[in-house]
Amino acid sequence: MALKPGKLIAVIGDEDTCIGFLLGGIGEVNKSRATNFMVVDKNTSIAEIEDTFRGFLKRNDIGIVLINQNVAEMIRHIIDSHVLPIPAVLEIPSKDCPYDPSKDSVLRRAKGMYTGDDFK
Amino acid sequence: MSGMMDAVCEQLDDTVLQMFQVLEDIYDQQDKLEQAMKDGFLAMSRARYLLGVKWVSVDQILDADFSSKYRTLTDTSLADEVSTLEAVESSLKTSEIDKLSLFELSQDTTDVRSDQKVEQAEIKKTDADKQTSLRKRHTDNSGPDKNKTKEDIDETNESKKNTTISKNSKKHDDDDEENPPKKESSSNSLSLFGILTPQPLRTSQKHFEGGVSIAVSLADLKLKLSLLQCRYKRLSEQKLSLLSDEQ
Repeated sequence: MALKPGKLIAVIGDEDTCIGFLLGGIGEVNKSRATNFMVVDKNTSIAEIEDTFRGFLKRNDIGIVLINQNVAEMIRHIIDSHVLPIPAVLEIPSKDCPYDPSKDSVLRRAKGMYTGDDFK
Repeated sequence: MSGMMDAVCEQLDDTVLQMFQVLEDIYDQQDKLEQAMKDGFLAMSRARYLLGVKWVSVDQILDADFSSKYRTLTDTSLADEVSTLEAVESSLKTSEIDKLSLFELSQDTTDVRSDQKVEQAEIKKTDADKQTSLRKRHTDNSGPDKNKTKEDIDETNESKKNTTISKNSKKHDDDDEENPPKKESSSNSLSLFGILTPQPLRTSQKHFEGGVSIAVSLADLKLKLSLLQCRYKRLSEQKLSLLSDEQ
């Protein structure tokens, strides 16, 4: 299997999630001072989150976007419309909100696949 | 015709079984990720208690310069970023999706190393210049060098400190050259939170590093699930078209 070299892992989440994953070694500040993370707090508007998420999707150096599920709920319409394989969007739990598989976009698509007609 | 129908039905069954296997793996990995993050948050809270809330906060990272330690390697079947899932799925054979590893985690040290090499090369050059200039200053104390004698005295008095005809950056480079481990540690994200970091912060880092590898495997599994869904859809449509042809 041939592999293409290294894309970054971006993270959009609350303070502790961002600090944690930056401690884990995925944070980067490039030459144009653009970061691959965004800290979402109570003062962050939905428009800012949408702009940052769209920005991460457009960047060609990001392979995976980690996003807290409670933040993902705020921009669900954009996440549901993202169908390209790269970057992959992964919903992760936060300190305050555990992961709920019923809200995950990818799993909801899988759940909605089967109807009674399929098994005839 | 019936042979084709049987083949399509068999492929459909295989795809469904693969999908359920991938779903099971996803739930398993999600639980592991949640646990890793919980342990990481707990250790981080302990570190905050020891260091103070200010020292383990966003303020430490917002204006900092750092580079990523981990990157993801993507399979060349995803080479074209604009490719849709359908295009990728159709390019893969039946048995390939299950065995394919579309995302892999890699530790990226190349940028740090190349930067260090460049910096060390620059340091060597500046050192060579300084040595020649020092020698010149020591051997020629009269005339225009008189103004530099005080600096010479300072340099001789201060061991391992080379000042200051050159810029301050060169001074820092010299210190860094004498202590190379400091440079390596600057690429470690722990250094954002101080020099002597407590053990709970290191423990938190370990948990989140584990979380990163789990997240990459989760991304891989979710992408596989999406590809299997595309395959299932395509085969269902094929089956429906065969059924309508038979009728």
